[in-house]
Order: sequence, then structure tokens, then C-alpha cells
Amino acid sequence: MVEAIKRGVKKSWSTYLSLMKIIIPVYILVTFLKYTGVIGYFDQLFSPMMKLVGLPGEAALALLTGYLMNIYGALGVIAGLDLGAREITILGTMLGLAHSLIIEGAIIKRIRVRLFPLISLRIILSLVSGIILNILL
Amino acid sequence: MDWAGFFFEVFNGSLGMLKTVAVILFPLLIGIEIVDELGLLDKFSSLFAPILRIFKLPKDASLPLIVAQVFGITYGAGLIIRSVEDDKLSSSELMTVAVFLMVCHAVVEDTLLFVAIGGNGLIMLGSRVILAILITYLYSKYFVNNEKIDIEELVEADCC
Repeated sequence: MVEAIKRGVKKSWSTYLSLMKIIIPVYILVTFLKYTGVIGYFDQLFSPMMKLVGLPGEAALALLTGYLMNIYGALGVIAGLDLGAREITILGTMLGLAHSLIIEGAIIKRIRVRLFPLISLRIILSLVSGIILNILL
Repeated sequence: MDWAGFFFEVFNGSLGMLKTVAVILFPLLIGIEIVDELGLLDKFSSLFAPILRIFKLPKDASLPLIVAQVFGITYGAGLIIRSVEDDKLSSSELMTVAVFLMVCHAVVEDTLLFVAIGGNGLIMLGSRVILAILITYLYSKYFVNNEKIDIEELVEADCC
């Protein structure tokens, strides 16, 4: 039992460190972009598309980070943006369904299954769930 | 640019994230180790029995499924590879497991992290689990050639 707790603490600490190495720099970068006004351009660019899922244009940054990098990067982005509970719930659902597509794609390829349909499925589910939640919430 | 405001926000926000993630990660990962130590994972895997029946999967698929929920997809995939090498899962069953796992894995950790920054956990967890079950059901019903599996099973039953 003590061994299990020790193992848990050790694992938590190393996972924590590796996550923070992602979350904090991403968060600082996004906050910097916010203060310099770059996020504003991004917001305008993606606003029409993101309206479909009930999110501001700047949330596209969180979505792209989550899809291509991972959930922790997306968390850093979300922390830097000013989003409400409704927006975070929609983003959380969309990112839960599809995230780390590159890395998890590589893992799933190791079990020798068809990769392309699975990744497309995840992205489609993610977008559709966003549209549905935008209507429901 | 408002440098003072920027540094103030970055400092406070970083501290907030450090705390938020720690509060979730440490209890969760330590709890998982304890559950694993007590051998409860095998018991939990019986929770998957009704779902496995819907998907027409054998009992052997339950351990990779539960491990992927608890430890994430990397460990789940490791167990799946072993199941395939041990001939416990056929290639069509493997694809069914993969469809479910792609949509639904490490749900506790992912959900809690978004709950910590203000999301609604029930909606996030619920939609993911329901979608995973629905999609995998549709996949196993319409895309898997079930007759072929039955024949394989019959042949196995006859020979042993």
C-alpha cells in the first residue's frame, strides 16, 4: 500500500512536471498575444466559423492546439483567453472527443488498424458535438 | 503594451494553473495506483460486460478497455497488442475496440481538468461516453461482418 502511494506520488510528480512544461509556456505565449492584440486578428479571422459551435473566434486557437498538440496545450490557451462556463463546456467536449490527433494516431497505428477513418471520425464527432451543444446549451 | 498588466496576469495565472492541475493530478494518479494495487481493476472490468455484449466483443476485450479509461490510450494500446498476439482478439474485434477507444479514453482525467477551469463535467463526460457507445454500436452492427465471426467461433468450438 505504501509502495503504491509512493509510486503514485512519483508518477504524479513526473507527469505534473511534463504537463507544466507545456501548459505554462503556452499560457504565457497566449497572454502575450492577447496583450499585443494579435489574438484580436485571430478572433476576427475565425469568428464566422466558430459561431457555428457557439465560441468566439479566438477559441479556434484552443481547438487547433488541442487537435494538433494535446489537451494540456489547449488548457494553457483556454487559461489565457477569457471564456465563460458555457464556452469551456463546449470546448471541453469537443477536445475530449478529438485531441492529440498526431500522437494518438501514432499509438493507434501500432495496433494495426485503419487510421484515416478513425481520425476523420473523431474530428467529425468533435465538430458535430460542438454544433449540437451550441443549440442545446 | 501594458507590461505591468501582462506580468501581473502571467504570474497570477501561472500560479493558478500550477495549483489547479496539481489538485487534480496528484489525488487522481495516486488513487489509480492504490486501485491497481488492491486489484480492483479486474472487478471494474466486469462493469464493461453489458457494453461488450452490445458490441459483440469477447470478455478479453474488457481489460484493455478499462485500462485505457484509467491509464490512458498508450497503456490501453499496449494491452491490446498483447491480446492480439495471444490470439484473444480477431482483427475485426480489434477495430471495434479501437473505434471505442479513439472516442473514449482517459475520460476521468480529461473531464476533471476542464471541470477545474470551469466546465460542466456531466455534459462533457456524458456526451463523450454516450457518443462512444452509440458510434461503436453502429460500427459493430453495420460495418463488422458478424457471420464471419460466428463461423470462426464455430470452427474453434469444433476443434477444441
